[in-house]
Amino acid sequence: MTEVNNDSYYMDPASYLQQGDIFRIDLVAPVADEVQRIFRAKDGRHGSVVFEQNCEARVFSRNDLDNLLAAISQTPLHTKPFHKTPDGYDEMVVVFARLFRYFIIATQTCDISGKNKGRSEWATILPVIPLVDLCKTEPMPFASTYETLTIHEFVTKYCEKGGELQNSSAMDYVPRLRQLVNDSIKSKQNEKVRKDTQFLKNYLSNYYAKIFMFSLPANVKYNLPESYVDFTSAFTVHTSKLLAIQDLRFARIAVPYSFDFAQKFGHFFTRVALPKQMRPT
Amino acid sequence: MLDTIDTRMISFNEPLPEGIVKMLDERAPWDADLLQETRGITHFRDNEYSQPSKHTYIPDKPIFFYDWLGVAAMRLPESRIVAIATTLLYSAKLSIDPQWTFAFDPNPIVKVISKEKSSQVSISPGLIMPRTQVRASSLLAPSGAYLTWVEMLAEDLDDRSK
Repeated sequence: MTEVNNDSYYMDPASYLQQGDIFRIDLVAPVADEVQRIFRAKDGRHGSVVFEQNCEARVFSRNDLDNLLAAISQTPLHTKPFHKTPDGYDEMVVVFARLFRYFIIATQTCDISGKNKGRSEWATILPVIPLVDLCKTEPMPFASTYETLTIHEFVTKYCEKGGELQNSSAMDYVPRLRQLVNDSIKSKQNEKVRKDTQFLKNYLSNYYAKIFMFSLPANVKYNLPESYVDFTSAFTVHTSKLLAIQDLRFARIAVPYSFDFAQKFGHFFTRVALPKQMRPT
Repeated sequence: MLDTIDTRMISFNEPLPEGIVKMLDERAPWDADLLQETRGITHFRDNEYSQPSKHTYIPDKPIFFYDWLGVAAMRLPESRIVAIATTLLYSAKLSIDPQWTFAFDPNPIVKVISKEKSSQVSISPGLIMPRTQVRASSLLAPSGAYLTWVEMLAEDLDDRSK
């Protein structure tokens, strides 16, 4: 296997949308929910009215909203729950969400570029998460600690000179983190902590080898710190929305690495996992 | 009135708003001494990451709150009122029945919110629930990073057991 050259890993985006285009934009990514917390004006009109008129709002349960709508004389903005308004708004609801700073197009170029054939109306996008964000925000089940810690918290707490991470820039953070972890393994420390530190070292070296993630190397030219694409969080968006913000693309994974990205994303969804006993002995 | 809330700085030492006192006083039976004592609750915390609601005590009577309160304190502008009111309600219940096992009754809290509310958003009572229950309704998927960690951990344990 040849060594990846980071300078050839990315290229400038083309004039049209392509698979592997990376956007830099804060993206609110909602999480599906089984409870209906419906955001409406207090009088039952669609939630968008609240932002337009700054009127009083209410988070309705489905029953409360149904009862209110049945009891009052309705305007066109008193839409039935989860029906579109006359001007095309979906229902507004209160759900959990994540915030991603980058995303990448996963849909194949031929379906969204508009070249050679019509453009697909919908596209699939995936979050691109800088490793520094993972280290600072995602709690991990360290075996030696009796509390769930982020990688940043663990290193700050247990690794020698871990506090130095506080002043690291986004681009410098991961190289410094790896250095600190490597140095810490060599130093004397609690046996359990040492095992965790060794595990962390392996994780930082091999996290992208698993099927859930696709690694993106850091690149100074495009100001992208070491990151990964998270295959477990796929979102569908309207292609016209992507076209409207296409100027926010700052890079694209270059060939042949974009093929590798496409192949791994496809493998994540198309693989067939068989139980062990089904394999020939 | 209560627009800047930091859960780590919630203090129960300040006087309660008149409206709250009046409403709580109307909810008999109230132990006047306990009520007075509860107003002087001091908030402790083990470390900066803990939910303050888990570590609130009145003398000789530990009171453990739901995580829900921690979130309420962070999310809702009127959370301080909620926290204070719920402290009073729970202490009163505990004083009446020391074996009380924290059955969650959202109605007093909803009343407190609606009574004192001058802001713009209210909530259907049916949606008031403990924080853990709210989160459980979400179809939250573990991240790829977490799944990778767990899978590598399983492999690591397998290797060690060989």
